[in-house]
Amino acid sequence: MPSSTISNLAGARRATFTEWLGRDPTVTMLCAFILAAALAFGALTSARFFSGETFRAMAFEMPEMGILALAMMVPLMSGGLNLAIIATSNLSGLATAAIVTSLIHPSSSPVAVAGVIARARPAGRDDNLLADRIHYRLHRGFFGRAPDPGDARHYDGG
Amino acid sequence: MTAVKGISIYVTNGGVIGGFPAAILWMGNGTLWGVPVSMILFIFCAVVVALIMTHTPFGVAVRMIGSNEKATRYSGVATNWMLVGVYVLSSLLCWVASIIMMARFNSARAGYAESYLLITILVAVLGGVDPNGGFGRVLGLFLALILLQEISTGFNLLGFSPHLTEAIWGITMLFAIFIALVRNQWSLRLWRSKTAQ
Repeated sequence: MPSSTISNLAGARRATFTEWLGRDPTVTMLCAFILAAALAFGALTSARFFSGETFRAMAFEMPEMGILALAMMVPLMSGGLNLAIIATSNLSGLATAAIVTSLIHPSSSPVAVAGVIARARPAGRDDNLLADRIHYRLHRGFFGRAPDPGDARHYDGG
Repeated sequence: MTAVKGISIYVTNGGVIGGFPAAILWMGNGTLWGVPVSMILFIFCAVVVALIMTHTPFGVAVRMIGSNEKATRYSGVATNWMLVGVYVLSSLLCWVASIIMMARFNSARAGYAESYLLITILVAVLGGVDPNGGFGRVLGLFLALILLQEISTGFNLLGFSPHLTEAIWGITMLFAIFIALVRNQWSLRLWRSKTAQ
């Protein structure tokens, strides 16, 4: 990269908030939609829409679908689809439920549960070669380098 | 999908597991400084996914795969391992969602939330994620989610049937596509008139 490009990058003016919003037409359009819908519902429900209770109800209902939408977004961005997200979340929910109900007594305190989970993690590490290999590959993919520089020799064969 | 669902139904015989400790229930119904814990969890997940997609080699590779998988492989990215990572991340998010679902219903069952499957695609596409892959932002998804939730709550307050909400969500999507089309035509015409001069 020539040095002039680097100085251009470093000296670039930071975009203002409106510029940053306007750069992405989808975001601008959605903001306009949200505002228009809020005003319309506020007028139609005689401002009952803007009560704290409504916002609390929305905040309780949103996360469930939101996290599932994130789970769908990641494969969508790679050009695929994960049609199994609901089935996966139900199965993992069942597995978690089975573990939680059989191992933890309903009256035990959250602190004790967190303590048990924190202590269980180191015990889960073992010398499984397949798990090691997957861990190595994913770690290198995520961070662009091997988890432990010595490992590269071991898995890349040189 | 069918396999995973089949396993769930076989293991539980279609039954329900319930009776969770208070810590789990708190995650679905509790609040922290007035904000629902599940909302905090969602925002945390959204920030983590946004950082992964924009600031790690993995995220860049995923978007490159979405644009052109063959070119990405020829540029030296282990695309099949990246795709393993994509589905691991997706399943991990499913697990977080399952904990919130579990806590809200105080039970786990094989058939919950089935209607959400296609709505999650709608949320992502409305939020600007390209269904062919390569482009998309977590911010857009977040705003799309707010919009749909706003519509559903608003129509609920107005006394409409909750079954109507999904139809209106679909119409919102069509409307968004229409506006995007009009805008594209408009900018094309603007560009043509500029180049003609």
